[in-house]
Amino acid sequence: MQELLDNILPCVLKPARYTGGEFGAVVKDHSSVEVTFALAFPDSYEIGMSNLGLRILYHVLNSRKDTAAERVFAPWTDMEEEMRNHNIPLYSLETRTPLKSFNILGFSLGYELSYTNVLNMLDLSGIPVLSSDREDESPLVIAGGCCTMNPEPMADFIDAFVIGEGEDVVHQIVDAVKAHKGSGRSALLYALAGIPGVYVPSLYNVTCNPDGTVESILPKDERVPGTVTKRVVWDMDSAGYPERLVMPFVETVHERVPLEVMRGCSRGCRFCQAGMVYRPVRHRSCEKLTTLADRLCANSGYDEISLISLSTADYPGIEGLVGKFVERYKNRRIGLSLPSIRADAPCVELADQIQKVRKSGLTLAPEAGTQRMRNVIDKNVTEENLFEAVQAAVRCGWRRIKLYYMIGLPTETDEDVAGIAKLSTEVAKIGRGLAVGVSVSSFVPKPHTPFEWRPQDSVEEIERKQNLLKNLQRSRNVSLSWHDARTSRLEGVLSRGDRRLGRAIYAAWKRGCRFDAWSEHFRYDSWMESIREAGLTPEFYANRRRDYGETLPWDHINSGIAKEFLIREDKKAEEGAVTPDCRLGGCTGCGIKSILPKDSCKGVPGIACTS
Amino acid sequence: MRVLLKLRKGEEVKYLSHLDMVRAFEFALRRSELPMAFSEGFNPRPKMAFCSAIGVGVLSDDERIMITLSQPLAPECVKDRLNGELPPGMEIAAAEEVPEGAKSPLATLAASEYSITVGGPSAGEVEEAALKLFEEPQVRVTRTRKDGLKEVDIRPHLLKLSKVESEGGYAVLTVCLASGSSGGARPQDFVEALKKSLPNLAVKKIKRLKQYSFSGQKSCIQPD
Repeated sequence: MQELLDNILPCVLKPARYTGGEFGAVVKDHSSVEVTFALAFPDSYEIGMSNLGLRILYHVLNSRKDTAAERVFAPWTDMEEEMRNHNIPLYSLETRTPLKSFNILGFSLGYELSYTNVLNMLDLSGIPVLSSDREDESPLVIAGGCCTMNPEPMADFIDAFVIGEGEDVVHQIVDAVKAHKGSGRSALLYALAGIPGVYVPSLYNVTCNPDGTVESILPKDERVPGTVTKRVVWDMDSAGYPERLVMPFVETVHERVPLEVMRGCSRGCRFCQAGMVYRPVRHRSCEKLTTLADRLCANSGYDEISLISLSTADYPGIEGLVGKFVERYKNRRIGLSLPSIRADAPCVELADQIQKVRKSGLTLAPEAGTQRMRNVIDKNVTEENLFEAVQAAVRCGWRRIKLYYMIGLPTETDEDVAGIAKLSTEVAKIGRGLAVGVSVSSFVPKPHTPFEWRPQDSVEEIERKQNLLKNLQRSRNVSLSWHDARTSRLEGVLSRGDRRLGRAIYAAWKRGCRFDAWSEHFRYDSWMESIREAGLTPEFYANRRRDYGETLPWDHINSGIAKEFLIREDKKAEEGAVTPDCRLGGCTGCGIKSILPKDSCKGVPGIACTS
Repeated sequence: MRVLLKLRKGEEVKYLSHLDMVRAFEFALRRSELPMAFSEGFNPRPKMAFCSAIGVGVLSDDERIMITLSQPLAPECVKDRLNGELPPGMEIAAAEEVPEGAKSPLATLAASEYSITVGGPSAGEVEEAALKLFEEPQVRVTRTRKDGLKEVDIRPHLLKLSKVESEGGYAVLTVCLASGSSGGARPQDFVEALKKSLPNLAVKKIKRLKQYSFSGQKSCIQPD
């Protein structure tokens, strides 16, 4: 292998992505373990090496004496070409073992636009791309991550999906693979289907109505559950979390210690899938976080700790935690960062406490340009909150503010779109010479959210709204950027797709689509041809208003959030009525209680941090 | 206190670029918790300086790094602590204190000795072609730059051909080339020049063996 690689690595970009051998990598002798597990990330090394889920599972799996977990990423197109020309199969970084020789190949599905890379990585490994073509000796191909909340579009390619959080269930999967060595693929798949949170798509029959909507998704026999309920890790302090990191050889997107302070969010923004499907809110204790931070800093060498979660400012006792960390690490020259903050003054002041010296840029997400629109999406930020936040930022010394918005939201009018330009211009006036970067993405309705029935705006409509904004945006201090409407369109098709869409994904990959999330590789026309070739239309998935009574392709996946709640929220959105955060305004009846071990969210204690 | 380090870049890390090496070293430095001196300013960084870059795929027995400590520490101790934190293939081979007030030992580095292993022609043919280069008044090679291709004369940077040996079917050249901040030739340039008369020549391995400082006359290369 080394000799083969020596022939090709000098010819590719950033070859250190393909060698392994990083500090912190865990190398085990395969003859001393019972299960080999390849953790596959379907995007480049630079993206994948920053992924928290991958890091957690790498740690959790390698903590087992009987298991070797190794990493593999999607080779960039130049490397792929060399590998194909020289017949080099896709291999793991730790031991350069071909993926075909692993017992389990687990993909991380965090973004729909990485689906074709999954197919390509399977093919590069010499593993049949279609699940139905795999034989007893093929690795078990599984997938987890937030995209599995609607697993159907990838059902043809994945043997088993993990629904929900992976730290605990991955042990049961490894145990099942261990116990079923030599007993055949079918026996293993049935065993997996019996594990709570594991969905084996080949054990379900999907039938369609004449209009193309789903009629039913039913298990093939009584050994298989009718619905698969997501897994939740209840106690964050005892959940597996790495204390050392594999230090990437090339610069990655996030160069810092990832410290997950909290999981879940109860704010209830109606567009946000993560905010719905990661409920209930759970936090790590201040003590646990301190221990983890100490060890991660000492074992990595990073000079920054990122306090991550969906809404870090909502961590109970965040001021205390931040104060303690700032004090603890200032002499070690280790800084803190918050990935994004709520648009209000107290949060900006918190960020100021963190970034005492480096005032890089401050990111705020009002999400919409008018109060009406923010009420529709239940984003409880007022214009006043935003102005106060920016005033605080200016007072604290920030010169650059970034504002995140979405267009194409349900019920949006041109007035709402124009509101983005108006609001941003007002923000720019708050400080002399304040530079405001406005980033406008296009709304994609997601499964398990109140907007799962909503039509997505067409590409033409999004582009019209983008132009509207461009024409209204006159202020010199405001710069505007947006996402490619066609990328969002494809994301819209894939995220709410059904099992038939697998044919289109296969056809798109055959046409050469991969790295779809990278504009230089994105081939919209090939995708549209592939969808049509599969006898489908993008409009059916993305732009159609679905009926509340329609069986949705993901109805057999239980996120813990009740459909009645989602319908109620969608109707309130139509009226522009808000729903307060349940920690402030009382239980909103989202349904998550139904899967809690206790019958109340109150059973999960908030932990105040005082130091 | 300044400490000069000699770093080995082995097979395991040969595909790291110069920037990747610097990163890997800086992380190791932070993990080692050595008492580092930091730069001033908004974004303080540990004070460290690297010698001139070697290319991706090139091995080295002699990369030089100078670090500045905030308090004195035995160079051996610096070496041991760093070696406990470096990834496999990177190793501090030696550490020595830089005398107070002395000029940066990196600034005087001016030449490197390389071992270049090539396949294709016989060692005799390679030696003949290499010697011929030293007789030419000019040796022009093309370099790829951001703004396109550029032709440069590397003849002034060809300092010495020490030997050409035959080893397991390959020819191994030992050649000394000028390097350092005032310009120089890369071993890949030398290979490109050889390829003009030996088109079937293929590089197997390149390794920087040793770096030299100039003292006095340009022709006089003194080992450190």
